[in-house]
Amino acid sequence: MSWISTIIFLPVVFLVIILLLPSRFREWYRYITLGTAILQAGIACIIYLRFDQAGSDGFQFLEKVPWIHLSLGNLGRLEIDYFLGVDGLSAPLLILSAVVMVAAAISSWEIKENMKGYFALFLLMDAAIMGVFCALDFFLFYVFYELMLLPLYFLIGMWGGPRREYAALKFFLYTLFGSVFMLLVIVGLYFSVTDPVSGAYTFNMLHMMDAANFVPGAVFSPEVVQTILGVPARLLGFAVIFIAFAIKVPVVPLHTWLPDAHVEAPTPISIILAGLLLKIGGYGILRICFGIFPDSALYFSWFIGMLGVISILYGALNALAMKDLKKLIAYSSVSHMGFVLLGFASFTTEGTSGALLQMVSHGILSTMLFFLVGVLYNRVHDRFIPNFRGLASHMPHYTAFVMVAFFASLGLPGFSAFIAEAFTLIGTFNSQSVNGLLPRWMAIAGSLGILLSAAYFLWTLQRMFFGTTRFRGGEAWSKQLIDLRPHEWAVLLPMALLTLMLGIFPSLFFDLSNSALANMVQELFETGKRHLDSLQYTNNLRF
Amino acid sequence: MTSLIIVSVLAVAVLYLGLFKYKTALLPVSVTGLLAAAAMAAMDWDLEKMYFSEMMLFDNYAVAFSILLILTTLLIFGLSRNYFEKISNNVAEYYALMLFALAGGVVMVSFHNLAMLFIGIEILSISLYVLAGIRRKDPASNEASLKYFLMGAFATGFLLFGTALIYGATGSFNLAAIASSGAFESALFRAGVLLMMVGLSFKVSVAPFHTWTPDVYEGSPGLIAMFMATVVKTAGFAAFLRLFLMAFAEASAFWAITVAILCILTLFAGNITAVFQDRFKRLLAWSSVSHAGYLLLAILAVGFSASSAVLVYTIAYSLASVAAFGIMILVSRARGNDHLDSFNGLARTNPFLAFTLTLAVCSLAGIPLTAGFFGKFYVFKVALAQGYTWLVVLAVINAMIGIYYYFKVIIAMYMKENANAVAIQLNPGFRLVLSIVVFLIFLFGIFPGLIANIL
Amino acid sequence: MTAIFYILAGIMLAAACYVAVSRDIARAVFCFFGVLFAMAGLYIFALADFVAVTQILVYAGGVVVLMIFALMLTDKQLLENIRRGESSGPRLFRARALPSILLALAVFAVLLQVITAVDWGNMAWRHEAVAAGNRITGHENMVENVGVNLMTRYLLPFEVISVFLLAALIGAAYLARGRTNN
Repeated sequence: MSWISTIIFLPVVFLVIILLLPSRFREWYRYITLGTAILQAGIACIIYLRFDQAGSDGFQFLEKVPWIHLSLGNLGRLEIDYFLGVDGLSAPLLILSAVVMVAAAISSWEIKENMKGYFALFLLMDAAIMGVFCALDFFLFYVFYELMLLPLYFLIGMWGGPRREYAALKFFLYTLFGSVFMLLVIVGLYFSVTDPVSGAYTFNMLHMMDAANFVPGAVFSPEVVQTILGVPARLLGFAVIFIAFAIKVPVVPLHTWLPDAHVEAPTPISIILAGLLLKIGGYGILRICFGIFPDSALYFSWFIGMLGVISILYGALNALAMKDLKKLIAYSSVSHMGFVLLGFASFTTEGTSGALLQMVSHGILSTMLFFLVGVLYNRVHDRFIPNFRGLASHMPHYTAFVMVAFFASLGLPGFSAFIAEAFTLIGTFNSQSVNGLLPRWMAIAGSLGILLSAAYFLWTLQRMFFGTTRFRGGEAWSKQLIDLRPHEWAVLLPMALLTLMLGIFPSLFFDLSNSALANMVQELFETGKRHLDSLQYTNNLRF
Repeated sequence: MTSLIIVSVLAVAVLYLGLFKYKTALLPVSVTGLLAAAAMAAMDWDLEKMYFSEMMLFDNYAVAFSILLILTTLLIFGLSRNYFEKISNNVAEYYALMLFALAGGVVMVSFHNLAMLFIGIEILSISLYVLAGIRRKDPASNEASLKYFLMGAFATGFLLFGTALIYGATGSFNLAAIASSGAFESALFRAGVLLMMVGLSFKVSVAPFHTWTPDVYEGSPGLIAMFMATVVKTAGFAAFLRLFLMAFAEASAFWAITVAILCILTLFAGNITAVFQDRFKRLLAWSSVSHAGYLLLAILAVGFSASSAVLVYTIAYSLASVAAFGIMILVSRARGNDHLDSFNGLARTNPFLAFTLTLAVCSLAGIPLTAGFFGKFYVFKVALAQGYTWLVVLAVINAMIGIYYYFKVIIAMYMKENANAVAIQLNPGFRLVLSIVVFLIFLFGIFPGLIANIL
Repeated sequence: MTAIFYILAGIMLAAACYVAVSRDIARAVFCFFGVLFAMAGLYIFALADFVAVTQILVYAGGVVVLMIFALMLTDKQLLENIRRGESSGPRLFRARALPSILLALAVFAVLLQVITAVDWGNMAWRHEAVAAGNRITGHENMVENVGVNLMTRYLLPFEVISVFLLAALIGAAYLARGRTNN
C-alpha cells in the first residue's frame, strides 16, 4: 500500500472499527473519526513534502492493480484497473480535502443522535472524496464519484434541517442526473480508446487524454467528425460530462440544489459540500472535460466563460438579497466558483493557476464561513441576519474570525482569495490577446463580481456585528451567545493562518501546481486547436 | 440433465414426506436435494452434452442458468420456514409445486427443441397458477390465480401458434436446424417469430403484455411473488434469449426493431407507473416490469456477451429481489400492510433490515458498488457496442426515474418516524438468507468479474 | 372433397363466432363442441387421423363433458348474476372490448399477410422431404408412426410431460380439496 491508497482506505478501516464497536463506546466514535482525519492530514503533508515539484508534468505516486477483467468475446476484453496517482492539479486538492476533513470532523461534535450511523457514513464519504481526486481510471473515478453521493444523501437526509428529505433527494437526483449520462460517455470513450501497449480497449484516463490512442473511426475519434443523433459526437460528449460537473460546481442554471442542500445540511456536511464537493466539479471539468476533449473545450470556451460570468454576478446578486446567513454564504459560493470556470475557459496558465488556487482558497474560506455560521446556529438555533445586531462587542473573538473570513473572501490583498481572483482575472484579460478566446469585458464583469461580494460581506458585517447589541431572543440569547470554545478555536485559527499563508506566500501552492499546469494548458491548447481545425465543425459557438 | 431428474424426483419425494406427515423433514430434504441438483449441474460444465436426439443441450449457458435458478430457489426456501404453515396445513404441496416449477425452469434454460421449450414453460406456469391461488380463502389470491391462468393460457396460445408457423417455415423444431434452414425471409417464419415473441413477452411481463403483473404479484402470497420475480423471470428471459440467440439470431435485422419498441414501452410503462405506487409490493411488481425492459436491451445485442449480460443482470436482480420481497413480507406481517408508510422508522427499530433493504433497492436502482450497478453497466455497454445509442439514452432516463421511486422506501425507513413501531422479530432462516444476500450483493458489486466471467 | 372441407371449415367458424359472442354459457359450450368436432374433420383432411381421433376422444369427449358438468354443478343464481351484469349496456362494441378487438384484428392481419405472401408449394424443406421419400400418402399406419416417434425421438418430452401432469394433478387436488380440511 502506498501513501495514496492509505489515505483513501484509512477511513474505511476505521469505518469497520466503528461499526464493530458497540454503542456504549459511542463517545469514541468522534475521536476515532477525528483521529482518522488527522492521520490523513499527516499523510497529506507527507505527500506534499515528497511531491517532486520541480519535476516533470507526469503523475506521481502511481499505483496500478488489475481490478475487473472480463472477456467480452467479439467485443474484445473489458479491462478496469485500480489506477491511482496525483499530479500538480490533484495534489493541492487532495491536501485540501485532508485539511477540510479535520475541520469537518471537529465540527461533527454537534451531532448528538445516531452517532454510529453518522460517523460511519462520514468516513465512507471521506474515503470516496479522496478517491475521486486520485482515480486515474475513468470507471474507478465514476465509482468513487457515485460512492460519495450516497453517504451525502443520508447525511443530509437524516441529520439535516426541517426540509431535509426534499433537499437530500433534490441534491441526489441533480447529481445523479448528470452522472448517469456521464456513464454513457464513459462507455463511448471506452470503445474509442485503446491501450497503446496491449491494444485492448481501456478506461485509463491518461490514455484517453492522448489523441494518438483513439481508434480511427471510433465515436469519439478526434480525426473525423462522427455524429450522434445529428450532433458531432465529441461536442456532445464534452457537453454531457460538462453538465455533470457543472451541476456539482454549480454553474448558474444548474445551481438550484445548492441553497437547499446547504441550508438543510448540518454544519460539517455544509463544510464538506462547499469545501470539497464543489471542488470535485471544478476538478472534473479541468481534468476530464478539458483533458479528454480539448477541442470541444476550445470550441465552447466563450460559452463556458460566459457561464462563469453569469455565475459570478447572479450568485453575488442573490447573496445580496439573502436574509439567511447560511444561504448568503451558499450563494457567495456560487459566485466564487464562477471565477474557477472563467479561469479555466481562458486557456492561459495564469487563469488556470488562479482558478485552481481559487478552488483551494475557497475550500478553506467556505469551511471557515460555514463553521462560523454553525457556531452561531448551535448557540441559538437561528441564523437570520436581522435577528442579530452588535455581535462585535458581545463575541469579540468570534467577530474577529468572521472579519478575517469575510475580508479574505471579498479579496483583500494578503489573503489567498486575492491572489486567486487576481490571477484569474489577469488570465481572462490576457486571453483576448494571447489566444483570442474570451473577450476583455468578461474580465471586467468578473471584477464587478468582486465589488458585489465586497458589498454583501460588508453590509452583513455592518448589520450583524456593528451597532448596539440587540438580539431577537433578548436576554436568553445573550446568555447563550458565549464566545468561541477551544475546539472552535482549533478549527478557525489554522484555517485563518492557512489563508493568510497562501496569500502571503502563494508560492507554497504555485510551486506544487505550476509546472504541471503550465505544460497542461499549453498542450491542451495546441492539441485542441489542431483537432478543432481538422474537425471543422460547421458553425462555431461564439456569438 | 441429472439435475433436472433430481429436482423432479425431489418434488415427488417431498410429496411422499407430506403424505407421511414428516413435516419437519420437508425443508432439510428439499435443501439437500437442491444442493445436490446444483452440484450435479455444475458437473456438466464444459461438457456441452446433448440429450435424447437433441432435445436438450446442457451447454455452459444452460448450466449457469440452471444453477442460478436452483440457488435462488434455495434462498427462497430458506425464507419459507414457518411461512407456508401460516397459510395452510398442506405444506408439502407448496414445496412440491415450487420444485415442479423449478424443474420447468431448468427445462426452459436448457431446451434445444421448441417442443421442450413449450413443455418447460407449461410446467413452470401450471405450478404457478396453483401457487398464486394457494391462499384459497383469500379473494385476492383467487383473483391473482385466475388472472394469471387466463393470461397465461392466452400467451400459451400465441406461443404454440408461433411454434407451428416456425415449423411450417423450416420443417423442424430443432434450434440448430431452424438456424440453418435459411428460411428467414419467408413471411411464415417472420409471423412465427413475432407470435413467439408475443407469447414469451406475456410470460416475462414485457409491455404491452404486462398488465397482469401487478395484480398477480399483489394477490399472490409474498414468497410466491418473490418466486415469480426471481426464478420465473430469470427462466423466462434465459429461454427468450436462448431461443433468439440459437435459432433466430440470423434474422435479427427483422425482429430487432420490434424488440426495441417493446423495450421502450416496457421501460416507460414500468417505471412511470411505479412512481405512483404507494404500496411496496405493487411498486416492486412494476419495477419488475421495468427490469424486463433493461433485460430486453441485452437481448437486442445478440452475440456472445448478451448471454453474459443477461446472466449478470438476472443474478443481481434476483439477489436484490429476494431481499426486497423478504423484508416486505416481514414488514407487512408485522405492521399489517405493505404500504410505504409501514416502513417508517424501520431504521430505528431494525437497523439490519433497513440496511439490507437499502442495499437491495440500491442494487435494483443501479448504484455503484452493488451488483445491480454492474448489471446495468454491462447491459448498457453491450447495447452501446451494437449502436443502440438512443435506446440506451432512454434506458438511462428510466434508470433515473427508477432511483426516484426506489428511494421513497429509503426515505420512509430513515427519514420518517413512527412513534409506536416495535422491532420486528427475525427467525434464523431470514437472518441467514438476508446476510448471504447482503454479502453477495457487495461481493458481486466490488468484484463483478466473479460472475461476469462465467459465460 | 373440397366442398366438404369448406363445409367443415364453415361450421367451425360459425360455431366459434357464436361461442365468442354468446351470452349463454350453456349454448356456448354446445357450440364449442361443434367447433371441436369440425376441427377433428379438418385433421382428417390433413391426413392426421390419429390427431383427429384424439381430438374427439379428449376434447369433444372429455373436456366438453367436463365443462357441462361444471355448468350443471355451478350455482344457477351466480350465472344469472353474471349474465345480468354483462347485459347492461350496448352489446357488441364496448370501450373495454376495444383492446381485445384491436388485438384480434392485428393477429388476423398478420395471418392474412402470411397466407397471401407465402409460396406454400415451394418451401425448401418440403422439396427435400419429397425428394427423400419422406411424405405421407394416406396409406400409412399413422398410429404406429406416432407411437414410434413418441418412444424414440420425442421420448424426453413424453417423459417430461408426466412431470407436467403430476404438477397439474397436485395443483388441482389442492385447489379442489374440501374447505373443511383446512
